[in-house]
Amino acid sequence: MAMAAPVRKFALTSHVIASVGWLGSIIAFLVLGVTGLTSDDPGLVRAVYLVAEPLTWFVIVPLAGASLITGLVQGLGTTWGLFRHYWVVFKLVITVVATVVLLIYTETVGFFAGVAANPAADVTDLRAPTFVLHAGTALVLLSTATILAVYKPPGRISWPRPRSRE
Amino acid sequence: MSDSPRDDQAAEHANAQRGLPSRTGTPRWVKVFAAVGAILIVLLVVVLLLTGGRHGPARHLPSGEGRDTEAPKATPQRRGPAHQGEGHRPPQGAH
Repeated sequence: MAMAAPVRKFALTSHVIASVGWLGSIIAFLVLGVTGLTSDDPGLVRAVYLVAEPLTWFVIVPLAGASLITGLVQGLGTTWGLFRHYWVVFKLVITVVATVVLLIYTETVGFFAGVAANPAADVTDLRAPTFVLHAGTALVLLSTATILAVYKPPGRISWPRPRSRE
Repeated sequence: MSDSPRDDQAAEHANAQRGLPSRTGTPRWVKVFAAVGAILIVLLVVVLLLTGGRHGPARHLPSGEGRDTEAPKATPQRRGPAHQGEGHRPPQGAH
C-alpha cells in the first residue's frame, strides 16, 4: 500500500510537523512546570497551572494524536512498514506509551488547574514537581523518538516465514 | 522516513562484500534499548508497588502525599471525569 510520491511527501511533512510540534509543546509545558515550582509570585504560580490545562488539551493532546496517526500512515503507506525495522517499532512503542500516559495525566493537569482556580487554595499545594518530572520524562522519550527517526539505525526484524505446504 | 529502506539493505550487502560480519542478527543498539526499557518498566512497577498502586493527582500535592483520603488544604473547583476512578480517589471535602 505504497503512497504516491506527492502524497508521501505531504504525509511525511505532516508527521514531522506534528512530532516536532509535540516535542516543542512539551518543552513549553516543562517551562511552565519549572516556573510553577520556583517562582515566588503566587499569582504567576496560579497562572502557570491554569494555563497548563488549555495547553494540554488544545496543543499537546492534538499534536500527540496527530503524531501517532501520521506515524501510522507513514509506516503503513511506505516500504518501511510498521514491524519490519527495529527503529520503527521502538518509535511506535514510544509514541503509543507517551500518548497513553499523556491522556491519563490530563486528569492531574485538570486537578491542579482546579486548585489554582480556587482563590481559597494554598499556593504551596501547587508547588509539586509532578509537571517537571512528567514533562522531563516526555522530553527524553520524544527526543529519543526523534533521534531514531533521523538516524534510522539499521536492523531488520526477521519474522519467521510461514512454511509453504507441499 | 525520507530515506529508503534500501539504504539499509545496501549497507548489509556492502558488509558482506567486504567480509564484514552480517548485521542480520539483533543489533547491539536494539539490545541496549530493550534492556533500558525493561529496567524502566521494572522501576515503574517497583514504584507502583511501594506506593500501593496509588498514582493520582492528590498524590502529587506536596501537602497531600500519602493521604489521598484525607481532607486537603485546597478545594479544587474542577476535576476531570476520570478522577472518580479507582486509585484516583479525590480527597474528601473536595465538593
